[in-house]
Amino acid sequence: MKQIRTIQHKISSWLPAGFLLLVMLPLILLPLASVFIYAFKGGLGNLVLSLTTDDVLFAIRFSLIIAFATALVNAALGTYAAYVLSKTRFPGRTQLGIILNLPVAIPNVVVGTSLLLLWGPIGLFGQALEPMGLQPMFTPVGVLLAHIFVTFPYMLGTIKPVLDDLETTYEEAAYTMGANRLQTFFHVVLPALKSGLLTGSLLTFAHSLGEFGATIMVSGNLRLRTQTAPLYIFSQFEAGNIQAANSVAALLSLISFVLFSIIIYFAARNSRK
Amino acid sequence: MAIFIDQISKRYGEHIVVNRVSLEVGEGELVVLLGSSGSGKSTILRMVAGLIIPDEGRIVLHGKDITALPPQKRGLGFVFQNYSIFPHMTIAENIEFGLKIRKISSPERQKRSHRLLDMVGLSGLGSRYARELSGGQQQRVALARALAYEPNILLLDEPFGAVDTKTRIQLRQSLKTITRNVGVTTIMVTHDQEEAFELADRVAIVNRGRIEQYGLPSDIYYNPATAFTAGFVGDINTFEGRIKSCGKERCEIELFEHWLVYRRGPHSFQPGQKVFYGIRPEQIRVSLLEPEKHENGIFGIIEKSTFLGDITRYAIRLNNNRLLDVQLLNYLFLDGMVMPYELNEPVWLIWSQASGMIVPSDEACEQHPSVFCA
Repeated sequence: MKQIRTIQHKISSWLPAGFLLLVMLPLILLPLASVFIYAFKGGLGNLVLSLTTDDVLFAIRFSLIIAFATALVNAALGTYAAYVLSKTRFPGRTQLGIILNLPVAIPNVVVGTSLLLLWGPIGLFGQALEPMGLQPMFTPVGVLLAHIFVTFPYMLGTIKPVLDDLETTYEEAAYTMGANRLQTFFHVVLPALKSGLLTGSLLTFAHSLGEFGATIMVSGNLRLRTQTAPLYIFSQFEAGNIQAANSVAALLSLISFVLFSIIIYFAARNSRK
Repeated sequence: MAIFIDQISKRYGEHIVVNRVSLEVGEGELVVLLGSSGSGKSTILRMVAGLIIPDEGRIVLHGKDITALPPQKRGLGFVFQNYSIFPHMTIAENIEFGLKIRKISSPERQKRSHRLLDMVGLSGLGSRYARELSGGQQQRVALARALAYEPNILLLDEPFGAVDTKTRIQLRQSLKTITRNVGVTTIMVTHDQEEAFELADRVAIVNRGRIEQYGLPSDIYYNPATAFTAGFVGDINTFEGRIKSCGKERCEIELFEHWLVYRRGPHSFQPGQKVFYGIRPEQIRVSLLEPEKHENGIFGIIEKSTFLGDITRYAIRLNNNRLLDVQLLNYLFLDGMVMPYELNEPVWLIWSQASGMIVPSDEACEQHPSVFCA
């Protein structure tokens, strides 16, 4: 009797997880697995070959550089925006906060077209820049602009709660000891933001790596000029080179997986503290 | 005069938090602002610190008007209730922070932080972080940090609020010694009466944004200026009554059932004026003999006795069905008993005519209902 109950108990404790796995299988797990299966289809030798063409090497390097630059710029911008929204009072503060989070609500493709409309050859800024010979669209600068726009809310959303939670008495203590606002920011506030900045940067980096909608619009998908890794994958698929596309897709998935694992690890460590 | 607070006020919308408060603090003096939560005492302190700007009035430090100065430029030290030790710096770095801002050289900084750690009893713990220290230790760090750059004034906002009782008492005694040795003018805010009385040279009773009384602890305790102060500091038995007469030597007050009590000394009350008469529990003695002519007294029955270790509290039922609180020192323990009187025994309650407080009745009930309108 006891044995049957133990078996029943074992099954019932595994049942919820098992069911979840079953549901997730066709949605996430099997498609992901197929990417890797197709990548290895022609054998390991072919895989290495398809990962070392000029186009691929450029695309991956370009994606990594853009992601890194985006994280850097947004770390500075996001911190500044979070500080202003959290620590200062002015009319329209709530509204500004909502506007700065808009990019998350707008489809990335729309972000791309909006940037084209502003900076492109017939755009407001674009027309002003043309006589100087400057045209950010269809250049790496344009890609960077798009990525900054699209990933900004992720940085803001990570840092602002940390600032909100930071006790004002820390800053007040610094003030009473003679520190001005800037000194207080660097010596007291910034160190407290370290973990938030790290998480925010990793998040921004990961999102930039996978960015497609806005990038395809502003970059013009020019190979060896503005073609990021996701754009390369798309182009290869369109051209019918399934194996090449999947090789890079597999590599990109691996990088993203590692990145997000690190983010989750740090987030868990912070919540335990 | 080190600090002169001149008619400062602070309003949040319709709510007046600080109402035309004036105060002067002498050089090297330790003044305590004593009041309950919401009385405005912390707001007053923060205005002195410059963390809150007063709506009106001014603050003068050593003859200089500092009302418009930001906290950075006031040269003061502030100890917060939650310590606010910077978590990502070591204790020594925290203490040296004010010195670093003032561009003091590193060897000089280290010398001073060592000296301060010794002074607050934390020698050798300089390389630790806040999270490795107890609450009491963190508070010592906060004090050392505030004193490191030799401030003009030291401000403490309920510094012992977050600590257990035993540690509180230890910290209190250390604080008194340290501020005495350093000689810094100090203003402290607390809701703990015992703490205020132990530390202060002078106490200011704060109630609803106003200072009710400002003076020596003994003055406040025995000569409360207002009904609020009488009820706020220590325990008190109060009786409604009417002034019968007030001469040069003493006042005669009629309480319930034509019971008369006397208060020595000249007072400016008018005959027929409604007042409250108060007597503190520790000022009353119990006797089987009637009071003498120079004493006040009333008859009652011992209804309850509570043994509290060093003292015993008695609840005495009076003729008008009221209870009188009496507190006696447990001087003698004989035959298994502290006092020779038993429950339900009728006794005389006697006190000196030099004891007792008279408080005008008009505002008493409104100012302190729990004591005067029970």
